[in-house]
Amino acid sequence: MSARPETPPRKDRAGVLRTRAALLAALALALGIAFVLSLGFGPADISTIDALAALAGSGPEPTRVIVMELRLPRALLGTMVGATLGLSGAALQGFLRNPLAEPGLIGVSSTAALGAVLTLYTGIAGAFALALPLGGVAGAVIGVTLLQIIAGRGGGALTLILAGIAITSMSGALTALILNLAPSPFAALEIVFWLMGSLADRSFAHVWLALPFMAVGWVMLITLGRPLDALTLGEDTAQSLGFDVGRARTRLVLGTALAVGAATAIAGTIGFLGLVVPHLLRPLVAHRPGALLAPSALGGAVLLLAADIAVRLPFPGNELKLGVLTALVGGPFFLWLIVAYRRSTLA
Amino acid sequence: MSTLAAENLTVALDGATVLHGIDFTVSAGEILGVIGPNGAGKTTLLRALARLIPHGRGRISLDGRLTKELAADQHARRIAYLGQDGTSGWAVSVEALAGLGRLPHLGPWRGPADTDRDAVARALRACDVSHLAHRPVNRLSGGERARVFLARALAVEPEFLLADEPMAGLDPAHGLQVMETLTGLAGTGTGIVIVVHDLTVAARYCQRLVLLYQGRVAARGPPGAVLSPGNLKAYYGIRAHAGHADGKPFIVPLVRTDEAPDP
Repeated sequence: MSARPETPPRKDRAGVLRTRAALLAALALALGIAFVLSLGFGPADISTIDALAALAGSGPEPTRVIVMELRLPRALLGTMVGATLGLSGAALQGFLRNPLAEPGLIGVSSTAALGAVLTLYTGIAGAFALALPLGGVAGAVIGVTLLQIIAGRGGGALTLILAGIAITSMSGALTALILNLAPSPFAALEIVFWLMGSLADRSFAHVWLALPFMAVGWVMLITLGRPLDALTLGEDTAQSLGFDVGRARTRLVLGTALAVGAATAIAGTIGFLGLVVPHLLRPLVAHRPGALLAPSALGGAVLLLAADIAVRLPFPGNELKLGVLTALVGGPFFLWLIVAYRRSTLA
Repeated sequence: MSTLAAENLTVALDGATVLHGIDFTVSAGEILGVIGPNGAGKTTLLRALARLIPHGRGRISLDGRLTKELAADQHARRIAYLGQDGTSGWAVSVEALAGLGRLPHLGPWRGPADTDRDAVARALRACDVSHLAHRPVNRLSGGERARVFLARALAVEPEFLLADEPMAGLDPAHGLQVMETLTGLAGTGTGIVIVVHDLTVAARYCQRLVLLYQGRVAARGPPGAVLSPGNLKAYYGIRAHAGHADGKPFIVPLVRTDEAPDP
């Protein structure tokens, strides 16, 4: 370190910056490793080394096809979906000043799921390749429109949560109705399996479909840093510091809807990730909601890639679905979080 | 010298008019106390002044310019607001929390500069919380927290500070400390509008008072005139013992007067 004496506050600030840079670098490194590892897992016996070689354009033709057309899009989608869930979870928690918030809370994942399920039920999904994710995106757009109508401008955090619950339960009921009316047990099973969430058998077409929605959503969310910091002090004080809370809210809702809607349309419902990731990383950014956004995006991508590797490990019986795994791990964590949160607020 | 003025200000909440034709001016370096019984409209007045709620008729001006025409960041740099509910959503450090007061001063994509860090350090010192700088705010006592939130408002280094009962819930020593800090701040040229319930505090620390009653200005002027036995009876419905001790004024409420206060 520098031998020159520094004043304590400046040293401290440099320390904070270093810590943050180190955290981002560590997460980026972890993402790189998870991404490469992810290329090495699948039904075909292609090692990580072979996969890397195939990426570089060498190796046997079938290996190249499998890596480029199956494994690479899967790893990319895992990164994109994970980053979306982590980022929107951090943004929602920051806006609502509540560590128990998650992207599913505003109801958009449910309407996206409903839209996708409708295409399965009506058979449109079989008509052309992207019908299913397009249905999901349409569902997300309808969901966010409803949300804006119910909890429109000026509504507080509570209105947003209540509207989200209402939309979630309505679309949940409609999804149940579709399952109920499914023409055959096989059709119902197809829908149930899709709802469990998975990245299997996705292609670059899915990447290109989701990317524009997600990219716009990411930009809207990641630029919310300062308004979220200001909201640490509550809506009144944030406004007195020059931030338009209503506009921040609109950006949050639209950004989440675009990114999470597209993620759900591609991968089905993957719970708990958006809840867990910001919570794990929060102590590492000194609890500042703005500084939590970028690390949560990276952390979400790492965790989802890891989970997607885990479901591809040899497992007796059917392949475990991604959403099932995240729920299995996330459920107990959520419970622990509530207990810990209650203890800290009651103390 | 800068002045913050309300002229003929009318504010409606949910369709009901809460403030009727309020007039007052506060100048740089002055502490103006807003007093009145519960529900008189004190907090509403402060929120309207801070541009947190829109007002109806009338105007609020800063040095003759309408505040609603100021850009959001400009308004935020010149007029700071310290609300009543001093809670932090996250367990950030005291220094980081006070640093939020610098947000209106930061350029886009720029982190805090030396001037910002100096302002935060000064604010922490002024509120006597420098030693807590690295403590998480959720581990503070009520008195410490109130001073940290005051430091956040001071870190803005505004021309005018609007403070809503900054000593609510504080023990006497901490209450006095907060008022001494505000007096020091006024001494450096900041104009302060403060909502107060404690009549002794109003009498002792405010240069002028505005007494609100049912959304109208019932009395205004120096504390001695506003806190007259007649006004206390008419608007608060109390009889009080007023006097001086160590050369400082005090007012102790004694009994409720039986007759209902008349407007």
